[in-house]
Amino acid sequence: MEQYFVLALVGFTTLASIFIGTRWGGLSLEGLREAVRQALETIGLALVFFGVNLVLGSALILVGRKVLREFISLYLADDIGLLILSLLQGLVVQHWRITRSCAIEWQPELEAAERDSRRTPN
Amino acid sequence: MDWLSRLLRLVGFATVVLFGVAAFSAVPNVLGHALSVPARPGPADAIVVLGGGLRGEGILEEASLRRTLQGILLFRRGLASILVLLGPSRVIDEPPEAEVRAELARDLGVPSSAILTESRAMTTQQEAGLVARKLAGRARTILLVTDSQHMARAEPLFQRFGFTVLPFPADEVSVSAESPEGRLKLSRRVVREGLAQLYYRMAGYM
Repeated sequence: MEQYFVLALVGFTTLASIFIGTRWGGLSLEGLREAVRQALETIGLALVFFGVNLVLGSALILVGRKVLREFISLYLADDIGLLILSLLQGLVVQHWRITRSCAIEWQPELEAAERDSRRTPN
Repeated sequence: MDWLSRLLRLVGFATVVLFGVAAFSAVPNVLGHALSVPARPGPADAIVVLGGGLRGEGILEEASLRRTLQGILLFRRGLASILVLLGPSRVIDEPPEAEVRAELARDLGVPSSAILTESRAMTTQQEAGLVARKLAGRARTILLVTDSQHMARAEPLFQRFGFTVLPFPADEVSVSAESPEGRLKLSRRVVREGLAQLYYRMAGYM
């Protein structure tokens, strides 16, 4: 039963936030779909970072053992902090990607606005 | 870059599904059971307690404390006359895990003459080798104490050094965990031990 409590709690607060967001927050359900997509991309990126960090970390430890002729535990790479930092890496890079795509999308409009402002006498 | 976004979404979706399975289903329990070695207690020549880690400042990690207490209980039940405690130092100036455990064992009534310590081993493979040297001619049948998933890797290693192994697991993470946190811990343990077994097979230790 323990696991259902957590699921029910999160399900309730999710539904409540959707209700509040659409009713009073000016948010749309179409926007929610896009948000879920972005969230999945962020999680995907975080997992890629985690995999790379884990493989690179393990390789560095194995090379370090050979070079330093000293024992370095592989468990060094098995730290929950690595997962959280990888998630942060994923978040930052995903926001970077979003900023870039927004800039590309808005570029023509921004340029047009700038041209207009030059033509218009003060 | 649309393909990249799609690929990342797919990986993200798979991660969420995997998380759901690991935290909210019985899959980790099934895998944990499959990887575990059940206890086979019986009279032995020695009780060998594998290292579980030090937190620093002479404090045993939870896994280490559980294993040590299990070893002491087996000794006090009279199942063997030698208690071998393992575990290296975390840093140079601190006492090794094996010595911290030995002090605890003495405090709990195990005579010093029955305690052997080994603090040089850094891996399970090294533990098996050094214990074999230490117990040469003194013990053939051992009660091996570690957690049940690690036991699946440790038992064959000790058998390779000629021991008859009676496993006696001391678990930090229960294979019957039902809470999401407990199942996530179990999943992590199963994945870690699975990878360790793979590494040991590739290295030819098993």
